[in-house]
Amino acid sequence: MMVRISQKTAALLVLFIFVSVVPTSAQVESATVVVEGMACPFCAFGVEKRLKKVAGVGTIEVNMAQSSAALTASAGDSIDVAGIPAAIRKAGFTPGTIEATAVGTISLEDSERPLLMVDGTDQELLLVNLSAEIWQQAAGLGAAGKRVRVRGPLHLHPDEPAGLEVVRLEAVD
Amino acid sequence: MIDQGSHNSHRVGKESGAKVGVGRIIAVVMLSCCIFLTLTGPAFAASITFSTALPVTKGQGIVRVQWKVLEFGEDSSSLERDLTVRVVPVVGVWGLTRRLALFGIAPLFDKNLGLTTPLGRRTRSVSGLGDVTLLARYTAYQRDAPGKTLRIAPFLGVDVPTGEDNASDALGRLPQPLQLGSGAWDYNLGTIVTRQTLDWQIDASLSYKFNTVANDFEFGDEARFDFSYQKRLRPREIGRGVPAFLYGVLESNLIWQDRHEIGGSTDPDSGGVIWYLAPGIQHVRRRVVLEGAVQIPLLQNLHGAALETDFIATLSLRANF
Repeated sequence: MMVRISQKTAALLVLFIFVSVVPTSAQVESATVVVEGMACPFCAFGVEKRLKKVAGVGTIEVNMAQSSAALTASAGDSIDVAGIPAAIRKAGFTPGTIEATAVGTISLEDSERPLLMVDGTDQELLLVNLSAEIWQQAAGLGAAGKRVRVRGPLHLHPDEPAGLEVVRLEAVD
Repeated sequence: MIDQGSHNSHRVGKESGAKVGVGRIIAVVMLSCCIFLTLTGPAFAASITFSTALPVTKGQGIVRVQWKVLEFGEDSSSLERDLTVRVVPVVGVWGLTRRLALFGIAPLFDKNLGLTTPLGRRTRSVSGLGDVTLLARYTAYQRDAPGKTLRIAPFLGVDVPTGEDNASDALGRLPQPLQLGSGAWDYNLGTIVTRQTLDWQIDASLSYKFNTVANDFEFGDEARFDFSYQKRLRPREIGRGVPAFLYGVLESNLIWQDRHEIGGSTDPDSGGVIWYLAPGIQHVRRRVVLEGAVQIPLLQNLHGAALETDFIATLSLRANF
């Protein structure tokens, strides 16, 4: 039995399918935090348990040798990086360096304070310690309004945008 | 009469047959209680025979179930005493804050004392819940670095008299130390220092227990110094993820106990100094720790007449949730 579909319905259907299959990238896609004081497998469980409660965290992989935990955002979510240090402290340990990978657009409204406007959130990350080469690249991508992926160590400050040291910067297709 | 002996034997001394035996019974069971306390510290991370200062995550719970056998024997007296104490301490730990952890320890006892009486060979037995210990530990000092930590944690505790303290059998009331509970509220305090790295760990604990009077009986106060060294044996190199660790363990428990008081008089067959050395092994995973140790007495300088410890075997399982 043939089912007749109007052109309008077909167009909506195609649009729906297209929207559904477009990948929704995580905004703070991943973060790796050094957990100072973690020195046995039994302790690792408490760290994992606490980090799972950080908003946006999907999976956690603790690496004992590195004393670190690698967090990956759940699909479509952004990791609330500001919640990571508190989670580590509640687990009874001391948070060390946090390295994050974030996706967003670069705002150059204040040319001395380039910001990464994290996709889909009201989170802003201040891009810091840019080399001349990366600064030039950032300026170009920012001016073009392109989405970028930035990776580097995070510096969290209360009442201020977190600073993200740019170790790697690339345009996102 | 054995049932009277718990109050009288200390005055009789060693020259009077049955009453001497009762005095020894008291000393023996006191020793077992002492050892029990040695073994049931709320360990949750590394050492087997006492606590450590390592963290319990806020909102995290740990349950530890141990199985212990304490054997005493080689009695040179005509009583031919033979004491076996089996204990299953169930330990629950809860992280109230990141620094404050609360512990509850509920011991299940099975005590069997065999002795030769004028009526023949007899066994005096008792089993059930002993005194529950509640304890709070606060991490006062903490210095962390990647793969290592140093913690200092004082603790305060109280023994709640939940155990039966007036049990009797066909021979009469059991001597107070053979009872499941003391009937008294007892208090302890101490400090634990833990230094842990990925390769090894050291724990040292100094503590003191104040015992109080119940049933006209006061157990002697107790001071102890515990030390533990753990060395990671496997894996030799830590790979990715969270591999299970196998530790070789060597622990030491040095315990001094004051003499007991019965009806206001000092019991000469009680108290003294004991030093145990305990080799052991631990298998540590993310959620479970399996461990075992055998405590061997290297020094037993006990007052009066007392059976000496042969050995103490401990098996333990810990799980976190």
